Amino acid sequence: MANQKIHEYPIERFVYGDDDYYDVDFWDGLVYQTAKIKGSVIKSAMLSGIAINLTAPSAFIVGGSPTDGTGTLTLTGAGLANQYIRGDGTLATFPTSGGAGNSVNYYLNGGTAASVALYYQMSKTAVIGVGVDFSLAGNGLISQWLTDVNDPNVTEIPAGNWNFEMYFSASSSGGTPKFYIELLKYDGATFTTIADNSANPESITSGTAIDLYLTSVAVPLTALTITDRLALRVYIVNSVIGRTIINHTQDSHLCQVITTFSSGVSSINGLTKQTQYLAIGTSGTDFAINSATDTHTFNLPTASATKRGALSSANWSTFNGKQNQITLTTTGTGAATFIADTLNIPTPSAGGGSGVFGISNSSGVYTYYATLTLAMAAATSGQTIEMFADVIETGAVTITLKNGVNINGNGHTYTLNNSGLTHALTVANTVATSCNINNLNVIRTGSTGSLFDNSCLILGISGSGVINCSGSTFKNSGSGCGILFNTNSTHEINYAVAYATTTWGAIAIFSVAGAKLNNSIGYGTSGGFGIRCHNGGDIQNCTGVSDSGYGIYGLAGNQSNSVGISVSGSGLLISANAYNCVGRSTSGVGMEFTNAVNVVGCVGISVSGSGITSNISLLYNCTGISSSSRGSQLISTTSKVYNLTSKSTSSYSILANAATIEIHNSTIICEWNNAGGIGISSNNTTIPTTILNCTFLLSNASAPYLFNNTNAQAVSTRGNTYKGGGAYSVLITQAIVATEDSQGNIFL
Amino acid sequence: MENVTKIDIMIDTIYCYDEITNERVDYPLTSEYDFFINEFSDTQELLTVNISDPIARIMKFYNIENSIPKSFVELDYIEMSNEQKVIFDSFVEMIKNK
Repeated sequence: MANQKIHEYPIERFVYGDDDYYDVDFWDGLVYQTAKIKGSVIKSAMLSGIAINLTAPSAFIVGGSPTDGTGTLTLTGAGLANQYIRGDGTLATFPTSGGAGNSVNYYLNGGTAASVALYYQMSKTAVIGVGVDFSLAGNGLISQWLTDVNDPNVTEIPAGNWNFEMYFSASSSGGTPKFYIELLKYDGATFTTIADNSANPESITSGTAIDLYLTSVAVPLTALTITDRLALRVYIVNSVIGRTIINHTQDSHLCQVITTFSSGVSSINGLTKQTQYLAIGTSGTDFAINSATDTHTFNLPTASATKRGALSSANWSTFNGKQNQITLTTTGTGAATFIADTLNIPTPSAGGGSGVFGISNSSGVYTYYATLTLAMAAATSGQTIEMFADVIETGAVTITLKNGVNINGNGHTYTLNNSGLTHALTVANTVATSCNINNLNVIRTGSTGSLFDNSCLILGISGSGVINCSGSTFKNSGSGCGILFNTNSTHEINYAVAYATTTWGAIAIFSVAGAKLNNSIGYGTSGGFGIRCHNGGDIQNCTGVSDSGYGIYGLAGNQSNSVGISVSGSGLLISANAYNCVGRSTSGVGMEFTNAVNVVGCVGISVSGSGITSNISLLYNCTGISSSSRGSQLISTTSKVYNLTSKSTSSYSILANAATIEIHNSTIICEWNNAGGIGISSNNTTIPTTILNCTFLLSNASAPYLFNNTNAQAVSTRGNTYKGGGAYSVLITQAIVATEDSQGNIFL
Repeated sequence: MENVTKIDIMIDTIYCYDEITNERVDYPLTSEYDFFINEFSDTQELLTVNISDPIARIMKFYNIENSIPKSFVELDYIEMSNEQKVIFDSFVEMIKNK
């Protein structure tokens, strides 16, 4: 054997220094060779030709194939994160459930009987307790389960896999026993199958060992009534006679059912659908969530005058453009400014002072005073004291007006509330004082003094001047007058309005002559008189009003173009001169004349009282009208009327009861269709003996034009016209004895 | 008021007049006069009792403006029922005796 080398020893170890190796002889098929084996080469030589392989169930992926001692064998999962490995090594997908929350799990509590015989409890609450087994020899139903009443309490089963974790063992190994599960619903009477996995039963492979088996049933979307319960039936198939399959429950073998129900929220806003939706809208008048069927609509209206809601972009721009909060300052001088949301109204500082009364100089700069007394003291003629707030004085304060110094109340009220004998405003005696008191309300209250003690405004004795009171009122709620003209005052008051409760009058003139009251109104309440001209004075274009007193009480002086009004008192009393005045009353006398010298063009009207009553007076061109009393009542021996018009609606027209009364050129009207609807009647037995050129207009043919009861009386009547009434009383005869002269004159 | 010739009733006051002298006395309209008010009053603003002048009667005035009534009714004594006459007389007597 050429080229053969045969060592003495087929394997020899050599050690030289750090070298350590083996020589190994081997036959390569032709010759013997010697392999020098050193370090890893030894291993390579030993592992050369050796390959390693691995097979694994489909749930795994095998990688690598080590050969000759090199390479790595790998084993990795073949599934996805949402899958798990079944007992048979295949992959299965974890069940999913619709809706929020986790899946609802049921446990098979074998130790608790269900309400239906032969069924056991299927509950969300596990009973661990002691183990309970269900055994079956051969094939068929091994166990059946039923949920409690009102469980699951839903109206549908979401579609998806139901997974079952079941524990089984067999009495003997071998064979291919399997199980499957049927899912049913139970309405209290009937079980109805929903789904089962009988077509794909799960193998029981561990023989006598108790093992966990997983199986799933594909459950379709299933409608339930709210009271439906769920049932399971577990069947064994492919087993053999003589082998018993045991279904283990409880203790360490909790059989569990993972459903497609969702735990957690079962109802949202009254909706019980497991799958629910959110939507948005803008309907309604306020933010609201409207839930219907399976949808919750969040309605947020656009804000408006009638809707509370989200601000529209346009409106936001509008609001964003509004004026910011304004800061008010009062510094500096000159005109007011508005800069950077700051309104600066300069305080007049040149004059200084403080208070609610101010006097401006020619430049418009004010000096302020705490009291009207101080302001009046400082004011000079031509200046105006302005009032900037209401003031109440309780001390014995009286303000003496200055000639030429005006007061502008700016609508404010100056009140003197003091029990003493003090007037609020005084015009000094004997001097001339003219001024304007405008837009000021003066109240005098708290005093019970007598006439000359406590007026709102008193005009001094023998004083004079013109005081204009436009927009001003003078109200005395105590015992005094509103405005009082003191003795011999010749002041003129214009445009005043006064109130009082005294019979001295809201406006009282106690001046003998020269006082003037123009365009003013006096109101008397609680029996107080409106305007009283006690000693004299002239009133023109004035109105006096009273509830139960006199509207205007003209004991003296001259009243022109004025109106007196009263409810139960006389509207107007005239005792001197009156021109073109009107007196009105509801139940009193419209206009009353006593010792009046000249009454021209006046009208008295009343509802139930006489229109006019004249006592020793002379009336020219006057009118008396009454609804239920006589139009005119002439009751004195010297009353004379010329061109009188007298009308009554439901009484005789004129009552006249003295022979010396004279009636000339008058129109005597009675609209009372009654035999008592007399033209001129007397309450005694005498009527005027002079009745000339009059016109009688009566309404009842039996009513006499003249009537004096039972007395025989001769009356001078001439030139009269009679219409509508009856004849005279037979006792009345003609008194005219003189005949006309050659010129046609008649001598009475 | 013994010499009363005319009695006016407005709101809650009785106004009694001697029309010749223009003397007036006022009385509150109290419940003692209910017998009269219940018989004769309605919605009038002014109820007037003429005792004898010009005749005995009751007049009621409505809607008075500027001392002129828009309407009125007149009930003469002679047209009253006997019961009304008794009431009328009693009322007048009460006023005269006050």
